[in-house]
Amino acid sequence: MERTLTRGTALVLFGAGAVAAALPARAAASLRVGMIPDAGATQVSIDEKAPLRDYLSAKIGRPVELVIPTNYNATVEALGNGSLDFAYLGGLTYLKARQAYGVMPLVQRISDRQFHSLFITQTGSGIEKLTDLRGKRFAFGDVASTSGHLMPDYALRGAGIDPDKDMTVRYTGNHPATAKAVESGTVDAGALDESVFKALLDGGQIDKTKVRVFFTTPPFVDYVWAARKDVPAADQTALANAFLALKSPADDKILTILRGTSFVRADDAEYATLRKIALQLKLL
Amino acid sequence: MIVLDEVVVRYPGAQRPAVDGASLLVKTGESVALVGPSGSGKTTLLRAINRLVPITSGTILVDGVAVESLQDKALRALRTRLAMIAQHHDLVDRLRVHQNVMAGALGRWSSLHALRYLAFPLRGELDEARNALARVGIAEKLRAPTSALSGGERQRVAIARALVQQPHAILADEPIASLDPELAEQIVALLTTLAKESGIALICSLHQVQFADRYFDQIVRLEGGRLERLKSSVA
Amino acid sequence: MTQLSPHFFGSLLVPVGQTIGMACAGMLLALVIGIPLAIAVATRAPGARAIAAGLSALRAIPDLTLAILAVVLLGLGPAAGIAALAVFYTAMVGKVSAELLLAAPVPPVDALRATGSGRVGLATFGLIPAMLPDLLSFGMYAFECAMRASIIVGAVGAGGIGTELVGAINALDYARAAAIIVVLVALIAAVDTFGIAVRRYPRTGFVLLAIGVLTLWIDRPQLFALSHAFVTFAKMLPPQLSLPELGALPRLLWETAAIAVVGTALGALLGFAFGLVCARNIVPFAVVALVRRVLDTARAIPEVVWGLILVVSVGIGPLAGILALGLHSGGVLGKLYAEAFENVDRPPVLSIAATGASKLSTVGFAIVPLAWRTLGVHTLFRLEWNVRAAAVVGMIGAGGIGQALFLSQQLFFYKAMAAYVLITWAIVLAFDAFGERARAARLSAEGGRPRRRSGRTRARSRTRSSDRSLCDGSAGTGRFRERPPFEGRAAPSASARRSGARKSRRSASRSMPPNASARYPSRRRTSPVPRAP
Repeated sequence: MERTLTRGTALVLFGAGAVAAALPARAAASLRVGMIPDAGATQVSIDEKAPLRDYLSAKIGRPVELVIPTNYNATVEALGNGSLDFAYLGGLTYLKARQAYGVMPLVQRISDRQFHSLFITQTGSGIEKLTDLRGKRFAFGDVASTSGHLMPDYALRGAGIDPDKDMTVRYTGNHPATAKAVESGTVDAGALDESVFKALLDGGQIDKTKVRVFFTTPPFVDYVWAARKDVPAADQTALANAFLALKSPADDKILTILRGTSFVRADDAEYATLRKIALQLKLL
Repeated sequence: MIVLDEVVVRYPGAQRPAVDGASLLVKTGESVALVGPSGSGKTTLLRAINRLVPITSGTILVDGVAVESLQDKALRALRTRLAMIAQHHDLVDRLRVHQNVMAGALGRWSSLHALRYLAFPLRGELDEARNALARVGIAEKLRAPTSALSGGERQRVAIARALVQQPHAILADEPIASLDPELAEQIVALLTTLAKESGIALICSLHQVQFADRYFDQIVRLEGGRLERLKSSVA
Repeated sequence: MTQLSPHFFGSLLVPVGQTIGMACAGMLLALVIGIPLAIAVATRAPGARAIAAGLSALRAIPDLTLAILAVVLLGLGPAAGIAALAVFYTAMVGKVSAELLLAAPVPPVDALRATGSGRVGLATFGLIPAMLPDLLSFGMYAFECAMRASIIVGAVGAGGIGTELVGAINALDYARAAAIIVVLVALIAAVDTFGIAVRRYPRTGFVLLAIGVLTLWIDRPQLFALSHAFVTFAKMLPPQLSLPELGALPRLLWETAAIAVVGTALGALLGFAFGLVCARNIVPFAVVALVRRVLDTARAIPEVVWGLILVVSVGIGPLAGILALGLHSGGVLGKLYAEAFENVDRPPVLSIAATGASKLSTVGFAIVPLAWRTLGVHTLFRLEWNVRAAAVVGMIGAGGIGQALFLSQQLFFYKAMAAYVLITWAIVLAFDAFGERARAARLSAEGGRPRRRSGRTRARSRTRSSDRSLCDGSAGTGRFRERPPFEGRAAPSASARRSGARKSRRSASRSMPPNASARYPSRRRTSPVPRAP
């Protein structure tokens, strides 16, 4: 009877193998572009970004599929295992992806070269400078975020505050949640991405009268569009050119989605300082 | 005083009535043995008296009040006056002995009082429980867990609970069914004596008739829902 | 903010489809892998013991933990969800099916000896047809659980409606989040209803299998991106924690334990209060019906979803976790407690009521004390489950070891992540063992006591851990639990079919005495099995 069992198992294995072999190789017809989940990874937010998708498809001449992974890690791993071809990455995420999978930096917004994190607090909190944060409840965004964690952390340490020891720290997971946590008073203060904060104020999701900025970090390099190492050079160039071709009044619809004004070429060398900081804070 | 006049109890859907035209008069301090085979309607009759079972026709008067007309408060008051000792000495195992005994006081206690007693019994209340237990001869079991009692002790606790109720009558349903003969006679003796001492009417259903004659004033037999008098009271 | 337009609901179709697809595909794989393993275990094939142990151990890894692993290994999207569900439910299907098969009218080992047929033949023609109703009933129960799991694995990026919900909450779009929750509760209700249909008309179950196959086909590229998975897996070895991480470990464990214990306590309190007001023997029917709906809703929303909502309203941290566990457990325990209250022995209650006690006094003096033991058992089970749940809600920001796991994943510290997975696993195993022992102790303590009437209540509470810790007991309306296949029930058709199968097996073998079936009365226990001569 053991023989029968073995035969059965073999049959199952053979069947599975046959099915696997019959599967066609992954269709590479469309380019898969990932965006970081800074404002929610939902079907709706993908739909909202449809103009960007259409623009890219038209420029590259290939169908483009927009994907919004739920978090930074997912985005990088997707670049690693080939389920994404291009991705929009934060500074720290880019460093991780570069280190792990050798991704290629392509383009970034002009503002990304001179990016800032904002420290915000309630209007009447009495917190005026970083040293006032000692003993307070503080919100970072995603632990892997540059503007939501890495740079604010660095700034705090520069001011002599060790976030691990001198404050009660929480990771909210994303920028809007940080803003909301500060607005509602769940935390005393928080740090987040300047462009997201501006968009939240403009969109009315955060009450201008309840929250104020009390510190802005020195500029640093942040977001970048990057390509998976194995994406053909022609596709890389096509995508980069599509972004570089965006001009202000004409393409405003798409630029709003991207929260930028114009794009420039990106280069790994600009990230040297950021890399040093990340290593120093043991986040890389 | 309890008066039954042509009482009929028919369960919904049943072909024959469980109790079929029973009439009986029990005076204060008098004890009645209700004998008959199992399934003859003894339990139903007893439950009809304190309205746990509704009667189909006839009248039951307890101290001159017709039980079938009673609602809510008045019904609770009736039940308070009629202590029930059931077939399988239905104590709550999880409770301590004194809690089971003082369950007899629930009719006169408010709900809040009752819940407070569960958590914080007062000394006076415990004394009352101890006195009742002393009358049935097991005062030392006051704080014992009920589950640790023997069969005879459980029945004594049930009687103590009935005493705490300060009832006008005790309705005992096969109180000795699961006890050995010697213990059974002790319990019957205890019940009838206590009833006589306190001037409580006692209706006690029994499976067998052996020593009933020695202890009860009246003996009636219930069979197929009908009552038959075996021994009448002297008066 | 997006309006709740038809367009919005239209855009939910894809994620809802993904969620259903993940559940179907996960279950399909679980059946394909789990049933043969179960047969191997039940027929004591070589290595059966090892397989059984492996299945037990695997089941102790919480589903969301598996999902995180799967997302790292397989990338985003439904493929990761399918993989996580497949692993989790293979363990469950394998273990429980093996128990079911061992409980067959003629235990497989005896049948093997008696008929001399092969294992596969025996399984195909003997065991599976005989146990089909039980397997089916269990399968649907498992599917209902898988459906819930399919929603929550989305929360860490495995796709489907869970991912949508996280996205909507992250985008501060509460109107949309609320709408998604409504859709989600409706989905769970629909699946439970469908489950009833499948139990009645088993053939409808094939729809699920078809959806499963379709989903697997759609997600095939990702499922086969395995080389990357191996590379990533290598990065997790060996699991290790740095010194500061080790230093923080006691606090993390303490936090997770606190979430589990306090959450269970809160759930027990809520469950007690709600259980009292929805027990038919305590309050009028109208109130019961109303309160039951409230409990159904609390139960239909998984802990993780409660957690997502609460993290927004009360902020990140253990409080959100405690409330999430408390609310969900309150829903589950409320229902179980109400059943316990309804099932207490009637005579003691009557005798208390007969003293003229008020309703509330009767509850205090009789109903609650009588149900107490059962409440205790349910609560213990809940605590056991909540240890997993506490680790899981941590991942969505409620703190504790779950949060540490999630953060290390986010920072690509895979060695640390693997260490946290192992620790979570060890904790769950330890708690399961502890629960098992506590129950055994309770039962043996009871054994020596003279008790007359409460056998009925006790039998109900003695459901084994295996069928409870599969899912969190919130699936369906607890039909599987109320009518567990282990403890004897059987629709007439089922028993008819079983005796038919018994007959055919008998005629197939001459070595079995003609009255063989009489020698195996419908024994429904797996424990010590008398051997055939």
